[in-house]
Amino acid sequence: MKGNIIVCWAARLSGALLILSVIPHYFFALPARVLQPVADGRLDADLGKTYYAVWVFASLAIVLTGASLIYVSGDLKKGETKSWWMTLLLSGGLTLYGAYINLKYPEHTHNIAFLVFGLITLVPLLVFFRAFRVIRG
Amino acid sequence: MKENKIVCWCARVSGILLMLATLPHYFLGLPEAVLRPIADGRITDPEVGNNFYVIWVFSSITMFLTGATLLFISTDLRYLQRRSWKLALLIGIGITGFGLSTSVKFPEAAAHMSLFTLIGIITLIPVLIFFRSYMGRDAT
Repeated sequence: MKGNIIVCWAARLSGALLILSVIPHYFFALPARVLQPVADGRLDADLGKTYYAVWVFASLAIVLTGASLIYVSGDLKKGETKSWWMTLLLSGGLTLYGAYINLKYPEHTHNIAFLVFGLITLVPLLVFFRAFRVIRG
Repeated sequence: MKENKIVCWCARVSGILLMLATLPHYFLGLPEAVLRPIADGRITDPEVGNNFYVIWVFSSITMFLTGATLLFISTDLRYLQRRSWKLALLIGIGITGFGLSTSVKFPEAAAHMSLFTLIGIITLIPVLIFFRSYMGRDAT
């Protein structure tokens, strides 16, 4: 199997996992980590509104980033150089975020998922970088 | 080859605005909305403070990535690629919907959140107006 095909499927897998992760993020974590602490008075009400808005934005952004990875996988399959750089940005961003948060807050074990989602794409992307030589246009 | 420069440039403007919005979101918003309240004791539970910090950083990163995606697909939008239209529609609806829903839910934050509505609409309106270009024979 060619390197670009492996990277294409890795990006699709990362994207699909990321999109699926919005289910626990929005439906379980939002009530438990945002609404409950606000109801318990563990942070003031004004701050609770900001916290809620940022959480909802993060849920939306998880879906959009996952969809972006699935979108770019089509161009990765063709071995396009531009798609390699875009995927480096997407998977590098997820990996750095996951690594940073796991180092800063080791007790936040669920954030390791973002590190894994990033690495699923980043590792084959770097290993098979020679497979991406097609310049569109 | 047929092309649509309006949709392309609107996606580019939205993407650049979204990427630029990351700067105040991270460098001004994080200290003001997260770190100071933690220092002032307005968040009594340290775990909640940590979660707030984590989600803020994640939002900053993904905001930048969404902007970069809009820039990336803008060339495909220019050359009437149908799947790029679908992704632009998803991003446009998502950002506009987020901006509108938070503005309605929290009217006191409407001025701030309307920026998201504006960024989303810049992409969404031309994507909807020119949808026939992406569904016709010239689309790829």
